[in-house]
Amino acid sequence: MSRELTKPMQAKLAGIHGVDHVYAETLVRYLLSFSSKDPREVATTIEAILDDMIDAQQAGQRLPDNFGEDPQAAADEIIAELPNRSRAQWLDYLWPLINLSLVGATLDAFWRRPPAWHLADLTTFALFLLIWVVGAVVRGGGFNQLKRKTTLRLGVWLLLYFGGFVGLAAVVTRLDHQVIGASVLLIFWGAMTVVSLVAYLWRRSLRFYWPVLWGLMTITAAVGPSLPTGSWLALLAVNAGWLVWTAIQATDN
Amino acid sequence: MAKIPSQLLKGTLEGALLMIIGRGETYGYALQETLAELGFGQVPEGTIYPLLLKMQRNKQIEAVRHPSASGPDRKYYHLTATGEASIAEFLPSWRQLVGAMAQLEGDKGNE
Repeated sequence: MSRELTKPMQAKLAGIHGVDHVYAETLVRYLLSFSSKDPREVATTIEAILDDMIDAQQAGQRLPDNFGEDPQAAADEIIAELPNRSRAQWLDYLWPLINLSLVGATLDAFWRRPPAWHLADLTTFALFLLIWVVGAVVRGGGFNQLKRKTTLRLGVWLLLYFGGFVGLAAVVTRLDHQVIGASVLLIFWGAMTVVSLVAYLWRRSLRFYWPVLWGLMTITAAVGPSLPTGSWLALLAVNAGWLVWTAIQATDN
Repeated sequence: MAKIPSQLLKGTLEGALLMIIGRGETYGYALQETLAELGFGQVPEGTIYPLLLKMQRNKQIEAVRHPSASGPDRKYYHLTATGEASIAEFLPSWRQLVGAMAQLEGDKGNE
């Protein structure tokens, strides 16, 4: 589920005006920044709070008087009471990261001649991880970021990120500059088409655009070079367009 | 009306919220208004919401969404059997506390 403002949230926020709008939006973005919490519970709680804020404003109350002068402390207490993400919800959250990383790393490998996997491919994964994990914390930074809890949270995430990156690099160094056959990559992409299709059929929130992307990549790589140049370029254009569209959809969380 | 210190409210607010919800299904802002009408003062929503979520987690109350009298769907809370049991548990302790305080106040008056 998206961690951006949902349409109901946007509609409710539009009903709050003036300085109170900034207060409400900062609170909502802060609550949305906790990626470890059940996103459905977070969303329903936010919507209920916004309903009450609209009532309060219509009754002539300022939101700091209605909700509290220290909204971050209140938000922290609210978050503490919300349930954590389930395993399936963690998969929803990490699925785009896994797919985009694999697409980035293997596409890079495929276009080398001969196809090979370099340590540099790890940067694709590292970049997405940075956007995913640290971005969530930064997006909630409308409140005083120097508050100890927020700073601690950001610090822990950064530590995990760099720790993970160094750990992964240590393992992957052994595989650096490995020449990988084009056929192996094709088999991998074909397998990913099946895996992502099965995943989508099991859980619709894992999105249909992943099997389409992997399938397109497999077909383009398998039959593209044997096609006339015009058709080959057209297929490449479709592939690139779908990749960009998928990346935009997938990172909108 | 003087503002009740938040530390004094803390221990009783959960019981008060359960009792208000026990009167009939209600929602966040209405709870805040009822608390004010009853004399609890202006209790911030930021104090009420963590308690509502805690009570939901403890299955003392349940939340349902349905259309409000004023328009779109909103979240309403109602009491569960566990919530009723919690009130039954809270009230004797509360009465004991009120009695003790009254006695203390009376003793002070007689000095």
